[in-house]
Amino acid sequence: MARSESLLKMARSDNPSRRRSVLALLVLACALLVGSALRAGSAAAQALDLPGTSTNPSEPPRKGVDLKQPYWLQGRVRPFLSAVFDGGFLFARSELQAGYGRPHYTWIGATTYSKLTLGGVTLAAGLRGQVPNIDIGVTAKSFRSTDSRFVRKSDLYYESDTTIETEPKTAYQSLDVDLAVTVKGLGGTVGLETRGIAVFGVPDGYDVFEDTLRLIVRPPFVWQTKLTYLAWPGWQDNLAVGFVAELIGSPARDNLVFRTGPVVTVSLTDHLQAIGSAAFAIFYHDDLGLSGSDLGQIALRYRWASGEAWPNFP
Amino acid sequence: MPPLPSSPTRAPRTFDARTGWRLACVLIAALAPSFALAAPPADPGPAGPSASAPTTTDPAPPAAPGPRKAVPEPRDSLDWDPSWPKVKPYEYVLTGVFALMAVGGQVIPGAPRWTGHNALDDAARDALRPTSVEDQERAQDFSDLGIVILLNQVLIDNLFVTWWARKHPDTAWQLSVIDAETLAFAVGVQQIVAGATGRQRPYVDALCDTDYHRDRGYCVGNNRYRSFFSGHSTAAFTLAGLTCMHHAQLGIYGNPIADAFGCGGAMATAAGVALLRVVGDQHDLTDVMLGAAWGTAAGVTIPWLLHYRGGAKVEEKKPDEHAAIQTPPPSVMVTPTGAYLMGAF
Repeated sequence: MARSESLLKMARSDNPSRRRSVLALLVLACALLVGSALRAGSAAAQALDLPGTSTNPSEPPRKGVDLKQPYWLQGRVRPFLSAVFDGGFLFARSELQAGYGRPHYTWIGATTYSKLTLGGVTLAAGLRGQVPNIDIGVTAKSFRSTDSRFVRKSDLYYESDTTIETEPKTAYQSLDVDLAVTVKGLGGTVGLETRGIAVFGVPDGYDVFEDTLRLIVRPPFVWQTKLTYLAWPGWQDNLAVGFVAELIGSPARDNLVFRTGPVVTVSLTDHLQAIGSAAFAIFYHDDLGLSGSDLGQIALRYRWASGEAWPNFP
Repeated sequence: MPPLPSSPTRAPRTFDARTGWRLACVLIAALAPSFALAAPPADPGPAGPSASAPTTTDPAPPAAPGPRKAVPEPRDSLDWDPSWPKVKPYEYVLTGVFALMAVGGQVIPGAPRWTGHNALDDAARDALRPTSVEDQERAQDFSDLGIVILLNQVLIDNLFVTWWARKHPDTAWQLSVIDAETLAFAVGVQQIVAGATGRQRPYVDALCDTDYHRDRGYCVGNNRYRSFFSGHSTAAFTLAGLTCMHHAQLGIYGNPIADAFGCGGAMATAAGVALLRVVGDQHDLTDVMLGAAWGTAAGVTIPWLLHYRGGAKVEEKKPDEHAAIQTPPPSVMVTPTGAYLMGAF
């Protein structure tokens, strides 16, 4: 109890470094909580009678949803460490970046992240460069599922095909290359993102449910193109609404999926952003039900960087 | 690309473009009122400099010339009542404990401890369950969607309306922690009970002896024996109860009709989620009835017991020279049903 009281006092403190310490402790606690859930095993993960276990919960989009950010624009050019934390109902994603430039705005450097859900763990590392309207990166990723299984090659899959207990548990690696361009237009911003993904580690004779793309792919190659449009209603620059539309293909399966849905995002502080983004499968090949869509759970994104001129929490 | 022809074992669910847009329309219709009410008022409110972003390029507000205004601003409905205790340190700890309970409850080994039926459940199942597995799965999908809508409504109320639009970050924080605490408690207890009672889900007898379904996760794992009581119903009604309690106490939308609509919509959505769990053959009627009752009780009583019933030590306000001005003047209101005289006498 005394410990929690001291934590609260630290959280209330005006001292930014203390607040960051509290944040770090909270993130660690969340990671431990989700980690303990993962250790409970696949049977336990299936048993939680709530959505987002047999399928992984929604993750907010990474590109095209940045609001106008004079805060990060005004940072001085420097070597830095920075972080992006995403949290939502039963998922947490922590990204650490080491680079040179203005963090979260114009920079080049290395990045690593982990994503924890009751459905599995993703660990990734890569290189990234960002200038005001262009973002490019390459990322090596490893995913291990707690409950999803590889699926034997077939022309058509159903949602429950990824749960056949006699098949090997899903675990694969991938190499992602992505390029995102954002331009002003149509009274807002238009973002175009293209991504190529090479998938490894899938046993012969099997396909795999790709965790991030939410569809069953056949190695070795998958591609994704995403269009995002955001408009500012005009009240302030810290709320934007729009839509996202994406096309994903798995050439080896001749599988094409088109999803679209609304996006809304708001900056609560200079560091904290809330994002809701849904993408429903409109054209698709497999019958994955809602596993093949993003239901649009609202998530929080917190950004931090070393050497900030006006550090504050949140 | 249209779905391929049916497989020999089962027909594909026709989750076509029309269904997708229907889902999007449901989402938009459910959340539109919240966004419509999220338009920020002209008054910047009492938030600190970090309460709205971006702040660094905003010009500093000019200092008010002359003496302070004589008339203090009226209390905003979202100002935290000083008599309501704020979230205490032990509540953060309890939230973590309840969350661990929710996770830990899942490791209780699944076993068919309760496989019997009763007339009420059988009658409801016969009346509500569709014959095709595909329709049952679609009902499950929509119940998942209902949970996401309820969860998003709470987040929109707390983050978009209370924090951002009406600029009350402290109240938004209080609401968010109360919501997390209550949801963790309700689901934590539900998970323990579901694991301990081991009631077999209704679909098991119908599906799990067939070749197609035998090895699927839903016929193998613990999940088969966690029917009593419904986690979806618990979570849905907890979120709906919280929504109603917050709107009743704080008037989050700033309009009684809109607040009532928010509460009623949440309750209707929660009822839909519970009903769809029976339609989806995941639960019997008694499972969802208890889940609804438990969730509503938790969502309404926990915020009230710990916060809204009051009990905090109210700071004594020193009498000041503006006391007379704060007293509302008598006023007369004429309505279709009569006239009212209001004021402090």
